[in-house]
Amino acid sequence: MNHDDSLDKLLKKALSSTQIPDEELNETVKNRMKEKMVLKRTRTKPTLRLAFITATLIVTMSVTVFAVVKYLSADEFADSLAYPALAEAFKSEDTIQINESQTSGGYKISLLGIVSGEKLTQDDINKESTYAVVAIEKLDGTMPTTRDEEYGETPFFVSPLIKGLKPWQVNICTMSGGYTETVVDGVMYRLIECDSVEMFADRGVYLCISSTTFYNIDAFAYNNETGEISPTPDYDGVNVLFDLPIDKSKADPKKAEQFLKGQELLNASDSEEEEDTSAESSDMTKGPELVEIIKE
Amino acid sequence: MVQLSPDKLDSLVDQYGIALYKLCCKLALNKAHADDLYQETFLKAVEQCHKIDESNNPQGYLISIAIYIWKSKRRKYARRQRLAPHVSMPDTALHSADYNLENDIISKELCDSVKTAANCLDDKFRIPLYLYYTVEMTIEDIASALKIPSGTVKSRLYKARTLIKKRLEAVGYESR
Repeated sequence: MNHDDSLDKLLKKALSSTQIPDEELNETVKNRMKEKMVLKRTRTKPTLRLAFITATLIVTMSVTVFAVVKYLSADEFADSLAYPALAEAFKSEDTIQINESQTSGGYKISLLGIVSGEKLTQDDINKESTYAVVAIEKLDGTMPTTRDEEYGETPFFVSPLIKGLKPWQVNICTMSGGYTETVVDGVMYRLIECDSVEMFADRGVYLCISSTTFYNIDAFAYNNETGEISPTPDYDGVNVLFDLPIDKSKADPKKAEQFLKGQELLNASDSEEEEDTSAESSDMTKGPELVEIIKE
Repeated sequence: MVQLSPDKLDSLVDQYGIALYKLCCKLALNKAHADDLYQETFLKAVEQCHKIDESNNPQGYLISIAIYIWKSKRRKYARRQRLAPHVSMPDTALHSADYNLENDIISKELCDSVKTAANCLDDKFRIPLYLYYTVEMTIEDIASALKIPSGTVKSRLYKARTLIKKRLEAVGYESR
């Protein structure tokens, strides 16, 4: 069996599902469907058409207004996602409005704002999360929209990184992270959400953006001695790093320690530290060996 | 086109509910959100039953409705997954003499890493991946549901597999 077959088998095993809907759920669905059928027969079309036209006008007008100003602000972007709670959060005093830009790999990257959910009172905000908004613009003005076939061909990885913690171990993918993005007037806006980074404020926090799908050791260098992370010079692509000016008094070393214990990242041995720092390490040969296990 | 008649809407739930539910569970944050998405999909199907072609892959139409609803409400249904989700350990006394606990643990870790890697993919690659491996749809049915050519489905699946493979290699299983 070749490696592609092994990977295929692994994907089938990992992604298959035995979940089925409850009987009760299905009964509820069928009953609601029947109710809706009754309502559907009595609903008037002109009312629906008017509502649709009104909604379309609102969206069109909103986009037109935003086009006048170059970038949306973080709260405006959150508003455009119909996320009023987060929009309010980005207007609050706790938001760090950064509005700093860097160019790299043919793109202009702007960090618009970052806010922690901790002191926010809106119901829809996770108090244990950090939210940040970046704007990514192609310098030649050809950023594809979400409808274009080319959309997504250049991936972007946007993630907080912590000084002193190996970035391939601690990044948005391992911090319950997720993102939402859209393109407005040729600018891609990405909202990221992940576990709060304030607890690490005393260590130093960055926000990295690279034109990769995951954290990439070719795009950023990690200094094992100082714990500093920096963009790799001459990297063929986007690799920018913003220092996040988070108030050091917000650090919580105990919480940080608990988080790292939960990630099983404390008390790592010296021999483990040397394993993953090289792009051509033995990890490249571990892949097929590990996949072999699944064949048993 | 054979339009689905309103009195056959129940049969949609019976025939395609399981496949749809599997996708909802993959897209949604938790069971409550998955159940919500599942219900909303069928209710939307009621609104659009005149568009559902009973003779031509109604499952695909339901899938496309679910994906549309999820995308438009993704903040509500956004999925979060920790790198190491809690998994109960097997009772080794129940296994045969040649059972290898270490391999079983590694196998579970591998599956968890695959799930995490899949979750980190862009929707463009993640959704076809779930439709293929979780819902077990054919390439043609996926193409129909997503309204893209079959060739595009194949290339996105290929890309998704490549990205996951890179992710597995990059992570390297330090915990091993």
